[in-house]
Amino acid sequence: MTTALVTNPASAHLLGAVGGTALWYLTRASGVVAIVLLSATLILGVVASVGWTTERWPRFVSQDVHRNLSLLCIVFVGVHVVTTVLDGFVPIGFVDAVLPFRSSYRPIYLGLGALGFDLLLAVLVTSALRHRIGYGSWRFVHWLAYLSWPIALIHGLGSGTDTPLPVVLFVEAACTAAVLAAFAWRLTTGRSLPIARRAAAGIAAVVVTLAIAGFAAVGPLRPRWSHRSGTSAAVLAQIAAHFAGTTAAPAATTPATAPAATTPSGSGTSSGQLPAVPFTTQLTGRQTQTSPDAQGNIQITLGMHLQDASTTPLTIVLTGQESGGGVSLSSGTVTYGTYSGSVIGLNGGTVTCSVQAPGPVNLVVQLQINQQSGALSGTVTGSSGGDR
Amino acid sequence: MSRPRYKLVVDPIACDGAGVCAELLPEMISLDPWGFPIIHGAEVPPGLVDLARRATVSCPRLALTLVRIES
Repeated sequence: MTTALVTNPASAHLLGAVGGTALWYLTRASGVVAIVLLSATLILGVVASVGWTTERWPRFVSQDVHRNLSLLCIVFVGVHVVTTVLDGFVPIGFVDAVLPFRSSYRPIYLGLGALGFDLLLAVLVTSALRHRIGYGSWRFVHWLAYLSWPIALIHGLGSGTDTPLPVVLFVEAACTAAVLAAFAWRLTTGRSLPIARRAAAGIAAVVVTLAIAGFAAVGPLRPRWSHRSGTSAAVLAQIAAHFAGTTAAPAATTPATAPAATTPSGSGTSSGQLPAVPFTTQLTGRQTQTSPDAQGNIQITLGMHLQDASTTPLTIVLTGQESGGGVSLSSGTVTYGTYSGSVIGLNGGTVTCSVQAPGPVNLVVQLQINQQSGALSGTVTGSSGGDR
Repeated sequence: MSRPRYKLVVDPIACDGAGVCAELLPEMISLDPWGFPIIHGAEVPPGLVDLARRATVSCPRLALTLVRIES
């Protein structure tokens, strides 16, 4: 079953944030894995740097694991970049991956990703050429590697599709705690640095951490982040069109039947019959939503009436995990009068259902939800269930 | 012409006594009481050249170098 987000009325709009292609899932997953690997790399770097060692863990092990983890991290960042570009769902090019702050999609937060990537590449190159450029230059660039961590975290929070997911927040919080502890360890054992500079770095780390937490709380964890994060209106329209396009096509290919289909208002429809397929008709209604239960499951009820069959309610009930102000669908049912069926797809504001009324009918419901009131409006397209 | 011959050289100013070299090449390097390396032998035996190079690469301060002996 397709999984997607329908936002609740409080979160103000419909956004199908989950496209569902393998590349897009790979992009998101590789990003999360990369921040974990970057954290582990940083921690191992600190272990090597402070010179911690035991009988069974010589210093060269810290160094080598640090180096190998960093290479693995760069591989994952490479996968992250390539899948993002190839997915093509949002217009991001390879140039956007290295030149920051120029993309039309979330320019700041994508730009931070590009900046972090550039820093990692700089560290990679200077480390490979360490013997040629000398210790001082290498070390200076390696200090910059610390910066890549908060940059990567803000990038993930600000542009990540999965930012509100509890498991992602948990991973990020755990990484933050571990990295902060490692950084504190590094500062308290860094004999080569003056105490004032170490204190300044420690204060800066705390301030940056609090700032990032505050940013997450007022930014990506609040509704309408996709609209507030600087994505251009053109791109938002393109994304909306993408979702509309997946289901608008069948309706558009049968324009001749649509007017006829909406007309038979007086005959069978008022007594609980759907219009004869194929049809496209307007509908209005209301959305209500339950509070999450102990497992985080919510139930969204879409109570609607077709324009020409006002006495028979079309009701869709969506059940699933609350996710980013919407629902990650686990099951859905649909009823029309005495007929019933199941929801077979949910993508943004488009719900696809299959009902027995009494023969098999596919319904594609495209909805706009009023942000404040929960009022619904939209269209429903019906087609024969046999022609799928 | 025979194969090239090498010796290990420590830059005593750059070295901060991390001790990684002695971990990686105990055959030729031991540590003094302060953790600074003592090189044993004027020439790296042919069988240890690769390991010696590995030790120089891993020196955190780039203080250990493998120097070719000009004959």
